[in-house]
Amino acid sequence: MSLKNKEVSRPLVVVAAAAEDLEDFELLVADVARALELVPAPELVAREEGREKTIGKLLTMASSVSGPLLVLPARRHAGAMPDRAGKARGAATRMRRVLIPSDASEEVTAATRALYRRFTRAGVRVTMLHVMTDDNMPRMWEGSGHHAAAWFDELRQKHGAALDVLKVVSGEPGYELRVQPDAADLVVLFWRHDSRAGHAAVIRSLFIQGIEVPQLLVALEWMKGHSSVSHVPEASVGSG
Amino acid sequence: MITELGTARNADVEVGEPGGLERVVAEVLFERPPADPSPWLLVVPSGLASMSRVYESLLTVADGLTGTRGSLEEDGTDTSSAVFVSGLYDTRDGGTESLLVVPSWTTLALNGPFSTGERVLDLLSGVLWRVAGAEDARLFSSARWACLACPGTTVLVAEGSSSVLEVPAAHEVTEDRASSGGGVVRVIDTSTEAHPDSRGGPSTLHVVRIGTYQVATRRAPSRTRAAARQEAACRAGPAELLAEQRAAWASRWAEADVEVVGDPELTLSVRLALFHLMSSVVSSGEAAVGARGLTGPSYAGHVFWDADVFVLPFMAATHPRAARAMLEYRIRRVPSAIEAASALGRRGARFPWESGHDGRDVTPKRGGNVHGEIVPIRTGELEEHITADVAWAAWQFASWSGRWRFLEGPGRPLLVETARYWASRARLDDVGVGHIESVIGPDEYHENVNDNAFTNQMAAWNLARAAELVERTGVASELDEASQWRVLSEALFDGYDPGTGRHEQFAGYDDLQPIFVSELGPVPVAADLLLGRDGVARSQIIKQADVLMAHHMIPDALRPGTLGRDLDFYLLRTAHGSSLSPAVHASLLAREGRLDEALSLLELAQSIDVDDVTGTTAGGLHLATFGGLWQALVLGFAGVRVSGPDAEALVLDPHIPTQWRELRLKLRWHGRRISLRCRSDAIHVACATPLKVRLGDGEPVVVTPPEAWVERGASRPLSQGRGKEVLR
Repeated sequence: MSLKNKEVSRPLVVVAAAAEDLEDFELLVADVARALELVPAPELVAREEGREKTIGKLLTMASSVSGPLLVLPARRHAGAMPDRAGKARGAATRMRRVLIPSDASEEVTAATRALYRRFTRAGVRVTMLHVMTDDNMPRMWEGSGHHAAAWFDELRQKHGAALDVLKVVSGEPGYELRVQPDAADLVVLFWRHDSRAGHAAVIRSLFIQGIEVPQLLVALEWMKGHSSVSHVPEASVGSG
Repeated sequence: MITELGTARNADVEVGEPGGLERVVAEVLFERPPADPSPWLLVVPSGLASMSRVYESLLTVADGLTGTRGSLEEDGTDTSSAVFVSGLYDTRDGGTESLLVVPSWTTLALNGPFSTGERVLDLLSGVLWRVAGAEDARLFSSARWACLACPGTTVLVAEGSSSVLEVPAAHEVTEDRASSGGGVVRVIDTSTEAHPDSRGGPSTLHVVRIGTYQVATRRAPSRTRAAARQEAACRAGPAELLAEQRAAWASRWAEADVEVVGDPELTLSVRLALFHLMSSVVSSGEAAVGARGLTGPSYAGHVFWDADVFVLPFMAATHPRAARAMLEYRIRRVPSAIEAASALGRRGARFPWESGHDGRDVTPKRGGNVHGEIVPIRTGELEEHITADVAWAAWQFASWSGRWRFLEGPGRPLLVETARYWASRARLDDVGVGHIESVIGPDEYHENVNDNAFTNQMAAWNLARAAELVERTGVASELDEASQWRVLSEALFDGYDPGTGRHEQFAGYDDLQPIFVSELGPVPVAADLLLGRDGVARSQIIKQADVLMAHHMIPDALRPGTLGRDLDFYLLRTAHGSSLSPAVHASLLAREGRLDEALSLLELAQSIDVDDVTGTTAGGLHLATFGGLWQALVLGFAGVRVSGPDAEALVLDPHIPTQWRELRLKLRWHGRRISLRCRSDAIHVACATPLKVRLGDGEPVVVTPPEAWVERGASRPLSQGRGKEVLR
């Protein structure tokens, strides 16, 4: 099975280690594809020994395709990953809860807004996770209470007016994401088209640490061209 | 309703002839200023959606009574459109009392897509203009304003293609009641005409909307009065209302303008600040000035020391009626403050850290932190300097206006009852030294401290001023008490350490972990997020001016020669984690002649809302920062000192950076309107009546109208001829 052999005009490239992984996440893949208005294009990629080699391969692939890349965890890694109801992973897995980490940069904020609209329209609960680091910390913090409430409110509204849950954690992004996604069926990871060493640090970190939740890799470059989510243009006038 | 050309329904806006609405709209929109760079125009281009709410705050139009955020007419998901009414609070679901939000008057049904367009806020007239289009076609234009001459009256004039603009409703009446009592009736009348395109394209709609907000803070608002006011406004029509608006703003600017000659960008920032200050305070009755004024919902519209210490001096120096209204807000809440003191077993009046409609403390007891965890908020319990700040505000008003009779009359409780509180709050130790324990100073990183230098000094100042007032008025029954206040004022520990030659911020501060703020990063820096609440409390890092705040507010009460040493020490430890901080430091540094450092912090102060440095400007503008900016220029760079109602001369000690050619100010002092042009070595004074001026340490000189130059060290004003020499 190879993407090159398929004629898919707007593909959602779905990467799995084995056919059984595709079967396990069949419904989730369909949900993601529907929300993004894309057609699934499965791609089997054998997991190599050593996760660093695997992530290198995945990032190279992500750089070469024009659209998002949905990476499914391998069954052999997922033995201890029951869903919230305690059932083993399987055909029941749907996209109901999505975690979108954001560094609150202008690009990622805009991309989150666009995906937020798509997902909420599909009935998905979206949680925005803001990982606060020394680089993106507010310069002026007037304190808990009123200031924090105002800051949270604006952070939330920038990303999507009615985000259900908003978490702010501070620390090393890769670690924080590994800790947080147990409450999500899908983690969305925005990245810039650059697979060189030193780039995509969060994604590398997650893969290396073995995150066991499906991950949607979305290039910010692609989002720029697709942020005008069907009929709700960004930075333009709505219907009032 | 929609009317075709020639059959316009003009019952609401009398234009007198068929097609008159088109002419009226054209007349108004013709006055749109060109969006060229100007120190009077805030230009917001079609911009990032993520900044939309920041722009809404910055583009608020207000008249002191109502404030309308600068939302796009079409609203939408990226906007937080709202109208706020001064002094009307609501409590929802048993939660915190918050400023009431009432329906807006700016919404129109616009169907895109087209760009948000360019918006221009004309600070000179208080009108917000918008032109939006698609590609090169103009599809929609509007002008809106809140009538400063007639607070509560609003006007929207618009023109748009029928391909994007729908016909709005003709008449709306709504009523909102505040849970705290009072309410607002809103009457909106909209007239619309459609003008067909001669080439068969979409027709053009012309819209005039006039609104009235009839407000009552303590009882039901009158619909009859609302209707009468609305009728009068509609009879006047938009062109006349615009002329009144221009005249009203011109009058305000004539007594408040600031111009930094040689720095148009700074001039624009300062004018933007002053515009929003003037817009946020009503000039009669009582003015409840929340931390974000009428520009946004943040801080719940609660009244903090921001109003008394940062906003009021500007009002006192430019528009005393507004300052008086702010003090009236406090005066009417003295009974609540007395009740609060009594509940703690104290005498006198204890003002709340956060105040709402009735003057009871509305400070939240708990609140979220950056991680969303609920933590205790102790400012309501411990940040007691607010009580002295209110007294200071009353004194400021009297000092700028020269009105002892205010302090002797309605303002008296603000000095006397507050002094009474401090007298019952302070403790004398065995050797007769006075202490105030368990407080939070302006530096909120350190809670529950003893002998906070700022609190103690402000309390001592409060006691001394109240004693002075009582001694002056000679009420025999109070003279003994006043003499005790004098004793306690002298006895209160001021934090001065002869060993270091500076003030210690509170007892034990010098023993804390000695960290310099530069170790955390360039300022401003969120030190409490980096070090954590406990970590920052263990360190010498402070949030904002604390000891230095005393130097700023009561410079004559501090020991001579200590400002420089306190600046040197605390600047190295100040994170500027508060939006109140940079301007105060800029002011003090300018006073000390440290102009490069002063300019750096002035730059930060003026950028706080324009660049959304706090990440919270979307929730409203920081009025205290704006007031601080004015104080930095007037009290710092121009060095204006107002020592009291009895002062015989206006004192100035300008320190003007070389890159500024001049700092021009308009002020009112002791009933006189004064224009000043400040240079480091001389000032030009224009006044209508003789004015005694003292420049630096020089002798006072009398300036005879209409104008004269006063040179530093000169014993008399320069002649007109010499003035021209100085000008060169």
